[in-house]
Amino acid sequence: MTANYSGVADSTVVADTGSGYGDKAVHISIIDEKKYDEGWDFNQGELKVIQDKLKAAIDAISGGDLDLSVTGTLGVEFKRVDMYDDGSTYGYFADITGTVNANFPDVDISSPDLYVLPGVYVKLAGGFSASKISLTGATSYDQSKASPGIVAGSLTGSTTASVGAEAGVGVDDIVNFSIAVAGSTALSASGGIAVTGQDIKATGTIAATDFEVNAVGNLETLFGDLEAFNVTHPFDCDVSKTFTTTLYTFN
Amino acid sequence: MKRLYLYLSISFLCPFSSLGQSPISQGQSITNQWNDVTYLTYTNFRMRVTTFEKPIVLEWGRLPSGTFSKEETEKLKCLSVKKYFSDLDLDHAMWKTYCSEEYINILKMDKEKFDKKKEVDIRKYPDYQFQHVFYWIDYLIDGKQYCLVVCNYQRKRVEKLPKHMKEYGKEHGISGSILLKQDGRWKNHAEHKFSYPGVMQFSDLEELLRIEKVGFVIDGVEHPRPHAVMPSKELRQAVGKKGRGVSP
Repeated sequence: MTANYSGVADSTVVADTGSGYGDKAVHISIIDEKKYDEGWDFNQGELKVIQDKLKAAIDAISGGDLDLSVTGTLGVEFKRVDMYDDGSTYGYFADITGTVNANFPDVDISSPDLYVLPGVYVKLAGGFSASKISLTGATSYDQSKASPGIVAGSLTGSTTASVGAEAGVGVDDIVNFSIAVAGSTALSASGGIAVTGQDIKATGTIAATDFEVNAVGNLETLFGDLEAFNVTHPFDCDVSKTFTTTLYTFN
Repeated sequence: MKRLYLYLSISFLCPFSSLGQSPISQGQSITNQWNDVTYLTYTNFRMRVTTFEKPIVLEWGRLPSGTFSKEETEKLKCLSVKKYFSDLDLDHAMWKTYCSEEYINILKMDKEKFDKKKEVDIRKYPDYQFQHVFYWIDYLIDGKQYCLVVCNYQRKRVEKLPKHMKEYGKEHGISGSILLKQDGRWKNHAEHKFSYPGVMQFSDLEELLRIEKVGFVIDGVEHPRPHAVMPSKELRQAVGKKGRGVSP
């Protein structure tokens, strides 16, 4: 038997009960339901724990107290249905679609003045820009169907990091410099939405690691000459935040 | 082994050496032979390192007394003219003869700027009284001969080559002066070619000597800079090199 269920509250749908039996009206009783549209611009709710962890991660990297800007909506709908309205068979329905993006403000990073010569310093400075963490729902799950589908979703992250050498005290100009980076400057995010037992959970990790920047180039000193310099600075960005939040429990 | 041999040679040639404590005169050098270095991308690359166990010390840009070869004297004069020209009897035209066109252009050093910089009295900066030449690296890159002279400036004379240059540089600062041999003589120079790996390692003498010894440099994930490695046999065959000191 197959029936197309529209996903709205208590419904009567037309079910094809098989060849020779014709169509019959089947009443599906919804005994539990939760529907909401969730963005990350909220202070309460199931996704708040994710929002808090994201903020904690970016605050740790920046050393500041930054606000996230959020876009998108995650449409969430859960149901537990009495399949035949007789208490004999229960089924679950879950639908999570859409994407919420947490966009981080640009984060500046800077080394202290790095000593090159007496009274001559260079600075390594730059930042993270276009940093974004996205939680995408990809859940279309309906136990009333022959192929119930899956509960799934993904957490992804991206960022653009840039670092350059800047003239510090005693430097008129910097020319011909190049930068090498050891370690990752990416803000990573991994995880997603999955069923654990009776729970639909969003879990994930947001992480950044330390990295080291080496700059080599020529600087013009106040004496009117060029000196080749080679400086290295480790940037302390090591942070890892894991989260788990239950979006819904199938009763 | 090569360095040990050179040390022994120097000890033998110094009649005033006392056993176990060889007085080393200023500027006495240990020059390694030319070595091919394979950078995988830059194959036409040779280098040799010259270290000064007792650093050459220029005081306010003046060359020390001592016996230097013509090449050494030319290199040291470039250093002198480069930073200390305000303190020397030198005009713009003469200064230019010690500099390559690229160096002059990068500095945009026309006569007006030169005259302005001449007014900067370097003697007001006592930290620049002594310029120490610890070592230099000669390079042959695509048929051109370069030299990167590694120096340190201090208000006190340093008598001995520091044991660990990388750490010393972090504490006391070291910098490099790039020279180019042009028209048969050394000149102050600057160009982007010195973003080459190996050249960039100039502040790490130990790594430079490793690069010389191994003859291969490769980019590394864990290192901020390309570093000396002994690549796999397959990689060595791919670049047509065997690598020194290693059986193929």
